[in-house]
Amino acid sequence: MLPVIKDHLEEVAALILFSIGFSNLLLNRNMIKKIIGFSMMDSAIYLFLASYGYIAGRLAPIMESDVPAPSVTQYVNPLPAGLVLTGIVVSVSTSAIMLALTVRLYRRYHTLDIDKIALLVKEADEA
Amino acid sequence: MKWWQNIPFFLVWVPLLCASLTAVLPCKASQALILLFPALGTVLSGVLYLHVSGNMAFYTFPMGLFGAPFGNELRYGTVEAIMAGTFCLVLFLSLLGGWKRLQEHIAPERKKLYCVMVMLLLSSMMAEVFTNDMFTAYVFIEITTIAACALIVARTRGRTLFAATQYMIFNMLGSGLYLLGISVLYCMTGHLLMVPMHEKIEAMMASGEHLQSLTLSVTLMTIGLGIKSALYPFHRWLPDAYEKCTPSSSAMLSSLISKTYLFLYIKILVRVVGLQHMNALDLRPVLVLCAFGSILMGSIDALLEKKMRRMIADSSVAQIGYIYLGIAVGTEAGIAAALFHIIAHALAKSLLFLSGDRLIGASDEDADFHELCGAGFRAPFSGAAFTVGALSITGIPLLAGFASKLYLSQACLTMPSRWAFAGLIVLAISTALTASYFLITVITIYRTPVHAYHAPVHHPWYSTAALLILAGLLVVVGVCGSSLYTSILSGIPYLI
Repeated sequence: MLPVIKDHLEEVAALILFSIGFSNLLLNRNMIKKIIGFSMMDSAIYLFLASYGYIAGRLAPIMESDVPAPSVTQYVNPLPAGLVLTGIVVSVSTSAIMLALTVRLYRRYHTLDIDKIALLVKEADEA
Repeated sequence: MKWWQNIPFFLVWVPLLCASLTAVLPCKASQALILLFPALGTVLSGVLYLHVSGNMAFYTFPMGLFGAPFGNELRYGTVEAIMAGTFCLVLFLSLLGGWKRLQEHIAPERKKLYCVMVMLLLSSMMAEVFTNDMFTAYVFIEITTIAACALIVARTRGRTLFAATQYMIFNMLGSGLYLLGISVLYCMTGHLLMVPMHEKIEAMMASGEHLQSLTLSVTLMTIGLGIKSALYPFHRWLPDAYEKCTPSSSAMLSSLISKTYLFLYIKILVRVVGLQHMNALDLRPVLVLCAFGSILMGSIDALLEKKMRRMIADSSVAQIGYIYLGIAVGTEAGIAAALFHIIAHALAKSLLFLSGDRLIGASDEDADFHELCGAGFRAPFSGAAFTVGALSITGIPLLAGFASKLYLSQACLTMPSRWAFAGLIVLAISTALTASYFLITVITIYRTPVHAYHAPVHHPWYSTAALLILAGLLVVVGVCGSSLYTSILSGIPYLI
């Protein structure tokens, strides 16, 4: 078991981070901590993709015009890095929307606790 | 390449450009644009359908210089053309039918932002329908989520803010799981395009390698898209999100957004995983049980609701269960029945949300059921439209809901006997429950009112025409259902 973990250290770390982020987003009552959980969850996936794209001993996939290009097998796969960059943009947009909603909720209900907000919303509906 | 082969690209990218344009155009022009483009999209999808159904083939549109398996591409056939046309048409009618309420509910300074979000929604839906790339689908899923959140929160009330937050939390969980699923699948296959991915999966299934990882990845995507489409037991966010926003937004959320995720899931199962491998991955029992849970719990929740909008929203959970049941059958007939139900439900649910809101408008806002007594007399046209929608969802013959339930039942019979038997029993129970809560509502709106009400709100003729078209389409799809079903069924081989 241990050698498998040692060989796939990044993947194991990504899995643990994803689980922490997922449970935080699902279970934590504080809105800010939920957003941190979401960022952690997405970062874990980017770590997973980046570790898949990296191959020890290979070059960054950047070709220079004045240097003779090595064989394509000497480069790492550039696609996971592209996916991670796109994913980060998407993740930042979603986090921004969530933060904006949190600010609006806080201004209206003066708390970041989602359960308390739910109670206040219910009370306002019944009033 | 012929001119009509550019239509999918046009349907994805022009709304995206128009979304930027609506931010700088005057408000009236922006509002005209959000009505014009879905109408144009419907016509163009019709043209696309005529061309692709005549040739009975699928087409690809390379996005950039590189072709498959390296580049990104759109892929389309009969099924994609039908779904794109349906989504554009329902979007157009949802906006038109709730236009007056939209103007009342959305603050003037937010109207342009609402237009931007509608265009983004249209673009992302079209991208999810046409894309052949798993990661592109993820990006547009997130755009759909952001647009949907803005559509909910556009009507400023405490409840909409809370509903939008809940919606975002659940959708972020779903997106995370979907992204992890495609990341695992990408690591196993080395591809993001659906067809090359499928070829690798075929090789894996033949050799028996990485089966557990494949099951894990498909399960993650199933749960992710299940959360986003409000499949039981992940449906708790739905009633709040659909209840308090403006009727056009409710109709779009219920009829279009959850259905786009379902169509994407169908594409993943059919084109990437392959229907023949569903049993090997133990997907069927999970999907069938979730579908049964959705159908029964959605119906029971709707029966127990005291407010009309929440009842219509809860009924969506049951209808989503029907669609998953069709998917779980795992045959072309099952998938065709599920797609048919997506169309039938999209039409009926828009009609119910729009006409239901008019009935509430003719009574007291936020009214319980008993306050709706006589609403059918105060707003006769809306009462009739609501009755048509309710009868269709219940499954009364000559309406779209009956045809879809018939095809679903026929598809269920092809499952192993215990599942087929259980499926038919659940369908029967659910039909009885649906009839109970919708018939109670229809009877209530035609009962003698308990007290005098203010004069009913006058709605413009074009909103009434939108309701009439939706009700007419339910009848047309119900009567000519076999032609549509045959067309979908004949297009499924080209979805693969």
